[in-house]
Amino acid sequence: MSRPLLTIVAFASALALPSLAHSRQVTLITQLENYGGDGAYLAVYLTDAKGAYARTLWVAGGKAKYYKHLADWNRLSARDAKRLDGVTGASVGAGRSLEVTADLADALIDAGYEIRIDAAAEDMRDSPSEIRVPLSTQNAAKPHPGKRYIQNLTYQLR
Amino acid sequence: MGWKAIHRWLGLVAGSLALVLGITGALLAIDPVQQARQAPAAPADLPVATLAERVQRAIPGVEEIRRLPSGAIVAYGFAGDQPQASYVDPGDGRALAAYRPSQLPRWVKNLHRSLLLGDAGRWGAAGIALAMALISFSGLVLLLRRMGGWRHLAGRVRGPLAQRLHVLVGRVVLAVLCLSSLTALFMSATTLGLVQLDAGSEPDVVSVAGSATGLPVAQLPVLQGLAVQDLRKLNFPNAADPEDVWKVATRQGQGWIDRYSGATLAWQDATMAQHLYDWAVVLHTGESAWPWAVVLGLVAASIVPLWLSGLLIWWRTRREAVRITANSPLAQADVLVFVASEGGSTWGFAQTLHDALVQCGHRVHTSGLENFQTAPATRQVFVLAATYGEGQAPAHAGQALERIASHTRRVVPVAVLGLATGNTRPFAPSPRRWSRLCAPGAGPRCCRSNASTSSRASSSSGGAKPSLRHLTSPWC
Repeated sequence: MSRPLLTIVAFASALALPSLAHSRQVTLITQLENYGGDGAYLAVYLTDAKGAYARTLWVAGGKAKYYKHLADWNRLSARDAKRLDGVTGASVGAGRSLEVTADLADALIDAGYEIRIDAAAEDMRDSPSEIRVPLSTQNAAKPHPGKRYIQNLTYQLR
Repeated sequence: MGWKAIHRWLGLVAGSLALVLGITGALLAIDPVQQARQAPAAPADLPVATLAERVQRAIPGVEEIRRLPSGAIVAYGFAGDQPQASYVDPGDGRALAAYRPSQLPRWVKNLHRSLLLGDAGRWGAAGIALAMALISFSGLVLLLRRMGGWRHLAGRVRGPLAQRLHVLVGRVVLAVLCLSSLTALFMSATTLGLVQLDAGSEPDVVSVAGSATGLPVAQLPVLQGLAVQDLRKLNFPNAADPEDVWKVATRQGQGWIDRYSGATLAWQDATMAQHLYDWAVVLHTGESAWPWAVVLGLVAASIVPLWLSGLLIWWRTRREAVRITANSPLAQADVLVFVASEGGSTWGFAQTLHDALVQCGHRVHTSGLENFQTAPATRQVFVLAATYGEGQAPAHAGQALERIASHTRRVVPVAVLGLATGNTRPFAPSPRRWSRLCAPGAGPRCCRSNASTSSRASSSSGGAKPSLRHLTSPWC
């Protein structure tokens, strides 16, 4: 199956499934390092088992001019016209943490989906896919370290 | 509202905030100078493929190479778990000192562009930039008026110290200040989302595995043909992701390169807005040309003396503003005194003359020269006219001669006292222009006393009384 088609299928199922099946609430807590720079732009999103974009959970940072620095998310989600609907907020200061809550369909959990976070800060290096953590019950409630800006990501499933 | 009022009030209000931007701007100008000193610039015609190959050999974990506007090369990578950014020697690719984007604390830049107030502050800073552009333009108009046109722009500046300082500094920095404001406005517009820079969404491309290992960077044709001077950024493909690609950003645009075949998978040209933005950044920050950064820093710092001297000029004008006491209505007065004065000091003379005439039993009406008119009761008119700058008419009396020429139908004696500082010629008694007024039948009869055409008085009101008493005595 071609990649665009996969993306569409994955995207459609991510949207459709919550209404068909039970959903679970996921709470993600992203703790930033003290990297000594301006507030970080973060894109928190899901990709499916094939690495195709599924859904944006949160985008921290409001200037569209800088979204190209969240390179992976910006590229993968380019076709999702609603990628920013209701999921944007302020950039996150160094050393601060970001808490994001989302409802996810049961079918997305333990199904090879990944939580990914792209990070960037001004005058510093972009860090696409700073975090890639499989969305599974096994990985929940454990801190997952990031590469540069993110100290760790912890998510809880309810 | 005239240019002078625009200049004065924008200068006093927005100028005090521009002072903050000026001081922080001067500090920020240190960075490009510092960067130019910190690391050697790469030779402009060095192929990017060669540079990348050298860096990769010296720093195996390298993930990204950037060419700074100063020409220095910075490599980003990991040493173990620790992210690293260091200058590299373009000659052999070895890491030099650690790279820091700025020597200044972050808040200096944030104060400069957003007054530490987030988006509201960005709009505020843009507003100050707009005000600054208007202040510069109105300053140019006033400067030309004062100096007597473009040809005299570089001439000698006369007047009190604050005025001289304001004009001397202003005429040097005005153009750069205006340019700085306009580039700031364009940069603000891109940040506030009013101007789009991107060429569109990035293409979704992957490397297609052919041979087992990727092509070495030195053999990528695109990078072989690309000179370092055009490079902005080169991203190495992720070793763990077989589908990852090379991504190169240049002055002309950005491209995605297959890691196995070396073929260009996609190319996006930089937009016109992006080119304009690149120029605006260079002109505003001087980041790729440190001598220009020095100029910008000095110009930004010049806002301090400009604002202080402007404040002083305004304060003095206010303090010296004279309210004429015992001013009779025009229709009842037998003596009229009309004053032309840019800075306001001539009003001191007018008050002295007015008082003396009142003491002599006259009913006196004193007003600005722009209000020139006579009434049936008028028996005598005095004109006290001071020059502005290089013998120019004060702004408020610019049209006064035309008004006088067109207005008066009655024959009334007029005495003219011209006042000027130093060696400037008083504007009003320009013999040719006054002779027009004095021609038979053309207007009021000119009564030229000794004091009228050739008197040169200091603009301070201190020495005024004796000469004015002399002047008024025939009417007592």
